[in-house]
Order: sequence, then structure tokens, then C-alpha cells
Amino acid sequence: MYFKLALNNIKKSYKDYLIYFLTITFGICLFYLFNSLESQKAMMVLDPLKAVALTMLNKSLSYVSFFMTVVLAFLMVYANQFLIKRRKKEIGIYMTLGMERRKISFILVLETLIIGFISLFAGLILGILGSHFLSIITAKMFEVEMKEFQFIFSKVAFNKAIINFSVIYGLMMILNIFNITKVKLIDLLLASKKQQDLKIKGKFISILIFMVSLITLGVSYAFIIKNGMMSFDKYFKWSIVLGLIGTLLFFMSLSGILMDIFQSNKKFYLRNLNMFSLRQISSKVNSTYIMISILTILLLIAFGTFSTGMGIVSVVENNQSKSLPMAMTLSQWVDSDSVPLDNKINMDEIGDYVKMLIYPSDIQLNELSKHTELLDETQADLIKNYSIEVMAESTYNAYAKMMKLDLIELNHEYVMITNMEEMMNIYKKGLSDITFNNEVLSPKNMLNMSLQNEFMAANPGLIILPDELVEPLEPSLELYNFKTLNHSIDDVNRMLKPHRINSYFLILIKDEIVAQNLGLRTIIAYVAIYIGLVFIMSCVVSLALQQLTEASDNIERYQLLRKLGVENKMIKHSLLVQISVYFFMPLSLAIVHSIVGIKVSSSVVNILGRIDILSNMLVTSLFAMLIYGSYFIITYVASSSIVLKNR
Amino acid sequence: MKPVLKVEQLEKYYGSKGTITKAVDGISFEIVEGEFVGIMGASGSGKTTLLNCVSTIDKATSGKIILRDQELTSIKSRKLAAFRRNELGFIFQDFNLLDTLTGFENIALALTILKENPVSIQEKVGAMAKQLNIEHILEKFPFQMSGGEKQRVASARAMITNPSLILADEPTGALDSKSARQLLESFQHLNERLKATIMMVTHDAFTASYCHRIIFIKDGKIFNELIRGTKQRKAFFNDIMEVLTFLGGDVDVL
Ligand SMILES: Nc1ncnc2c1ncn2[C@@H]1O[C@H](COP(=O)(O)OP(=O)(O)OP(=O)(O)O)[C@@H](O)[C@H]1O
Ligand SMILES: [Mg+2]
Repeated sequence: MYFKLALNNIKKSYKDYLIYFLTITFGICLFYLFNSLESQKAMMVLDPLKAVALTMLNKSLSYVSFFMTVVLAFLMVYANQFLIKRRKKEIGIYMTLGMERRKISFILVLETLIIGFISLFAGLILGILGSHFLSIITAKMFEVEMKEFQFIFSKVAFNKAIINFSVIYGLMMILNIFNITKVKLIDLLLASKKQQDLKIKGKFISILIFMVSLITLGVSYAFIIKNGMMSFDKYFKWSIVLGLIGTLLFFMSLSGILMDIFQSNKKFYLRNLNMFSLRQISSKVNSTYIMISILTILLLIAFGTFSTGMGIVSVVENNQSKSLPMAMTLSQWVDSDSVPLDNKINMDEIGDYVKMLIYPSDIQLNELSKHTELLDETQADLIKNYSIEVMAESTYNAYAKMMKLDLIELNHEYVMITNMEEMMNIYKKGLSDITFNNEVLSPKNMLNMSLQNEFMAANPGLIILPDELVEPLEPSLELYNFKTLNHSIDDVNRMLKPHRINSYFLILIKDEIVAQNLGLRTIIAYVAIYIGLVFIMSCVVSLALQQLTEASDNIERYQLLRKLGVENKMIKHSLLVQISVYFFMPLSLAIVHSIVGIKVSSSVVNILGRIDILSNMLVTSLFAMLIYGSYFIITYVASSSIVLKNR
Repeated sequence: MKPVLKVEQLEKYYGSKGTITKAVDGISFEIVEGEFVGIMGASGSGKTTLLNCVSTIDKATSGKIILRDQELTSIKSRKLAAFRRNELGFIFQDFNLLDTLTGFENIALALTILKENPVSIQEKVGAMAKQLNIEHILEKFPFQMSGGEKQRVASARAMITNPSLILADEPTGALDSKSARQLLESFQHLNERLKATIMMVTHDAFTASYCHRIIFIKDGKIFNELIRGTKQRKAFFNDIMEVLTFLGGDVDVL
């Protein structure tokens, strides 16, 4: 009997339930999409290296996934509260008719359960379909080979979704029961009329809170800049905490401040529907500032992952040609019992090569240059205590001869070699003389080049010294640089494999690294775009849902405006203003946050090579604008048709 | 005198086929410039429906409504909006205030959508509030007002634009006799000094006694008409009571 009543209630107020249902369904869908990321690899041909990279990424993503659960839980509880609020009057009438609270809350629980079940399965089905299409699209975009068509289903994501959402439903039901049993009848009956109760009373207090929020955000920015995103230290933690608090306080006080500013400008306030629009916005912000803050943080995460991911992609790309001058480099760390490679392997058989020995030194980078302070803090920390490596003049000349470069001749001089742009800039400011075995050497010149194949151009500095100074030293590394190979890559690998007994021996074949980098790049870009998409979409969808409920909630208000003779054009304009403010408020603060964040994180990426922050930001914002813009337009069109329908 | 409003054979049917409600069933009348007309009738007799058709909020099923030589049934909806905000003032049965706006803002809204000068808006609202004795509730939101206060705010909104026709649906329904008198005196002021034409629906004989003429409606049709002429209000009140007793049932004695 109760089941029937609950079902009837849902049918009766299906409009209210629709938005609630859509929010939850969409939440579950996104949750599944996000967590099914790992199973995406089933669709792609991945070599072991890529697979490891994906698994590692997945591990760090599990933290993000936890955060997402919290966010979605909040969204759902919010949607639920919203629903209860809209039905408070109905519940109040039940009560005046003498129905017991216990029975009412039982009916509500049943209603929530029914909707929960339907939306859970709808969400999962949507998620499964969605993840499938998403992987096809992304794979196409990055030209990843696809295995033959197979339907991917992530059991992990499926189970996770069911467990997490059951817990959330449980919490929600307890909340509902609590809500109904504790609340006063008069409040239930008056509920629909009491929404615009201002949260913060008084001009002074809202200005104060606003100031505090700005200060808190400032301190948070300062902390993250100090931390440099290099470690999870206390600055990092405090920056996050203060950032959250600052954002919350910002939106909490914003509407009060804005109302004050605009109300004092009577010319503006008393024109057309401005007064109405402002009141609408301010009551909306007042009742949803927590939600807006969460959306801001979600957008921040989306932008952060997206543009930092893009940054890494472009670093990998830019460095490729520079860091891979040879067809192949074999390198081996030398210690007391290692046998030189050319004793074991017939190098001439493999190709045209030069053997090069690298020696350690105790010269530190900051002895050579007084200008390491030009590096930003994080880079400087990494590099300034770096001990420079050394190579002999004759070795370099052998290399130069093979590569058809200019030979060098040293006369109590040294040559500095690096392949990092920043280091080059520093060295150009002037290098110091060095004393080596009681001999004073002056800098001859500096070369911006790579001496061997590397995964990334990351040689901060190596110096070439006259042969007689190097001779007494013990080498730390032996390199075999091949300009050309006489055999195919597979054959070369087969020839070298038996000698690869430990990790001190590295085989760096240009074509292989290029292929691997491409794969790594694909994965990073894939994940970055995936996360960015999921987060931006969840923001925009909740904003759109919010606005649409708002529109259907306020039909009466707009109807009244029309009765009073307000033209449709003016009403549409007011709607446009309201929706724009509501959509772009979280976006603007998120952009400010992410400019700071991306600037900091880019300096980390920058250690590996210069990235073009601007163009990454541009791509990110273009991308966000596209999603944002289309939802904005849809929301605007849909709301105006809701508000202006019938006559 | 020239008629401001001319209603000819107006019909408004609700529902379809099987269950038709003839809310307004062939009503014709005229209102001349500067007249203060009351509409009386039992609950459900079609008063609000008539008012909604005249105010262009609802569309009539058939018949003609001519306001200032303009046939309302044929005006385009864009023009209707302009017409409503320029020429008409409404007081709805259910107040219809915007609950997000304060009393002041609700009243001012009628002027801002006419693009009036902000300085004069403040002055006019102030003056109107004084007249209706609602100065103390201008900063309150509707949910903080009593029913009577809401009604007075709604009345202020309807009158502030000096409309040529005021349509009022039970404006004194929620007021005590003192506030009701205050409101009716403002109507009278508007009617006499500013030549506003007023059409007012009411149940209450005392309220109706302020009118020049009363049209009685029963089941969507005109049942009777009373003209005050040169009578005192007291005498007119007694005439109204007589008709109401005759009509039976729905009598609101003071
Ligand atoms: N939207 C509608 N749909 C169907 N029937 C309606 C609608 N609006 C009014 N009616 C019916 O039309 C008739 C006249 O209604 P109306 O609201 O005009 O009455 P009224 O004279 O204003 O009554 P009251 O004094 O109680 O306000 C009633 O029988 C009512 O049920
Ligand atoms: Mg009525």
C-alpha cells in the first residue's frame, strides 16, 4: 500500500523528480566513466611500458576518484534537500490531516529508494555506453591502434559505483528521516515562501567576510607559490585548505557586496528589470554558495589537469629531436668490476660508432656560474648543487668528426656543453674560471647540444677539458654513440640482449624512443582530456540543471511580470543576465585560481624544457568555452521557453 | 461621455466537449471615462474570468472587447504587453507580489519597466506609500507582511503609474475596515482627481458602496445593475444589500 502511494507520488510530482533523477543519473554515469579509465586499455594495443604508465596514472587517479565521490555525494544530498524543500508544503498538509511522521518519512524513504534504483541503473547503462564511445573517440583522436571491436565493461567501476552510491543513498535517507521528524509544522507550511531569507545580515559583516576571503585566497596563493608544487608539505596542505575556505567565504559574501554596490547606484538599480534580476541572482547565490564553491574547485581541477597534461605533452614533443641526435646510444655505468662493453660486443658489426668516456668531478654548478638565482626557486634547488661531469678534448673531437661538427682546441681553457635552454641563458651571463689539478682554466665557449640519446634533454652541464687533465680520472660512464646502424632495430636488439644483464646498461634507440614518447604522450593527453571532460561536464550539467529548475520554479514570477506588461524581450534579457552571472561566476574564480596553479606547476614542467603556457591556457580555455558555451546556450534557450511558454 | 470600455457578447468557456464550464456566458456592458464600476456576484459566478479577459491576461472564447477604440481581441501580443503596462493597473485576488523583491521594489517595478527616471521613481513610491499608510513596510519582503499589507502594496503597484483603467479583484478582501476605507479613499482620489476609470470585483457591500454603478453577475450572465446616481453612500449601500438578499446565499454582511 505504501509502495503504491510512493509510486503515485512520484508520478504526480514527476517534474520535481525529473531533475533530481537526472542529476543522480548523470552523477553515476560520470562516476562510472571516470573509474572505468583503466579498463580502457583493453581496447588499445599497448606495449608494457605504456601499460605501466597507465597503471601508475590510475593509482593517482584513485585519489581524484575519492574526491569525486565526495563531490557527487554532495551534489546528490543537495538535489535531495532541494526536492524535500519543494515538497515541504505537501508534507505539511499530510501532517495537518493527521498522518504520522513515521509513516510520512517511510513514504519518503520509499520514494527515494525507487528513484535511487532507477537512476542507479540508468546511470550505469549510460556510463557503460558512454565509456565505450569516449574511448573510440579518444583513440581516433590520438591514432592509437584499436584492437578488434570488443565491448568494454569495467567490473571495478561497476562495483565501486554500486557500493558508493548505496552508501550515499543510505546517508540521504537518514537525513530525510531526520528532516521530517525534527521539523516544525509551521515551517513546512511556509517553506515555499521563506527561501529568500538572507544568509548574512548587515553590510559591515558581509564586507568583513569579503575582505577575509580575499586575504585567505591571497595567503593560499602565496603558500602554493612557495611550495612550488614540488612536495606535499605543510605549505601545500594549508594552501589547499585556505583556498577552499577562501572560495567559500568569497561566494558567501559576494551577493551581499554586489547588492550593496548596485543598490547604491539608483540609476542602474531602478532601470528596467535590473532590480528583479539582481534580487534573483542574490537569492540564488545566497542559497547555493556552497554548491558554487564546489563547482569552482571542480573547474580548477579540470583546468589544472588539462593544461598541465598538455604542458607535459608539449615538453615531450619539443625535446624529441634535440635529445635524440644518434641512431643509437649504448651507455653503461662504470664501477670497479664492470667490463667495458666493447670487450664483449663486436661494435663495428653493429654500425658506425664513437666510444666516449664521461668522468665525475667535484665542481659544483654554482661555482661555475654566479647566476643560478635566475632560475626560479624550484629549478634552482634541483640544479645548483649538481656536480658537473667532465669529458676529454680528444673524445669530443672524435665525436665531432663523426657528426661533421667543428673541432675544438683547448689552451688552458674549457668548453661548457648543455642541452637545456635555461642553463644556456645562465651560462651566457658569464662563466667563472675553474681550478683543476692546480691549473686555472678559463671558459672558451659554450655549446647548446646533446652528446647522446636521452629520453628528455636534461643535461644541465658538462665540461670538456684538455686530455692530460682527464687522464688520471676514473670514468663513471661509457657511451657508444652510433651514427648509423647496419641492421634492423629488431636484429640489433637481438644481438645486444644477451649482454643486458643489469640496469646499468641502457640501450637508447632513437626510433624506439620516438615511438615510446608518442605512446606516453598519447596516454597523458588521453587521461588529461578524459579528466578535464568529466569534471567540466559535471560542473556544467549541474549548473544547467540548477538553472532549469530555477526557471520552472519561477514560472509564476515571470508570468506575473508578463501580466504587468513586461515585454518578452525584457524578460529574456533578465534571464540572460541571470544565467550568465550564474554560469560565469564559478568560471571566473576558477580561472584566477588556475592561472596561479598552472604558473606554479609549469615551472616544474619547465625544468625539463620550456613550455608555452600561453598556448596551453588558450587550448584549455577554448576547450572549456566550447563545452561551457554550448551548455550555456542550451540552458538559456530551454529556460526562456519554460518561462515564456503558453501565450 | 465616451465609453472607455465596451464589452459585447463576451463568452469564455473552460474545458472541452463533455465538461464545459461557461464561466462567462454572453456578457455585454459599457464603462465610460471616469466611471467607478463594481462587479458583484456569488463565488464561481465568473467575475475573475471576466476581469482576466478585459485585462488581456486571458483570451475570450468569443465576443468583442473594445478599449479606447481598440479591439483587444485582435491586438498582437507584443502590443498587448505595452498596452498593459501603459494603460492598465491590476490588483489581483491573490496579491501576486514578487517574493524576492521588497515592498518598495514591488511598487517601483511598475515604473522601472516604463523606463521612468530613478529620482522620480523614489519620490512617487514614497508619496504613494504615505497615501496607503505602508511606509513602514517598504523594506520588508512579502513573506514578512500580513495579508492586508500585501494587498496594499499590490494596490500601490497598480495605482502608481496613473493608469487609465484600474482592474481590481477583491482589493479589500483581506483588510480590516480602517485599511479598507483608506484604500477605497485612494481609489476615490484617483478616480475623482486623476480621472482614472476603475472596475472592481467585490463581495463586500460596504466596498461596493463606493462605486458609481454595480453590475451583478450570476452564472456568467448579467443579472442586475444598480446605479448610484446622486444617492448618498449609505442609501446606495442599502440598495446593494437589497439586491444581495434577493440574489440569496452569498451575502456578506458587515
Ligand atoms: N482555468 C480554469 N479552468 C477551468 N475552469 C475554470 C478555470 N478558471 C475558472 N474556472 C471556472 O469558471 C468559473 C468562474 O470562475 P471565476 O474564477 O471567474 O469565479 P469568481 O466569480 O471569480 O469566483 P470567486 O468570487 O470565488 O473568486 C468557476 O466555475 C470556475 O470553476
Ligand atoms: Mg475570483
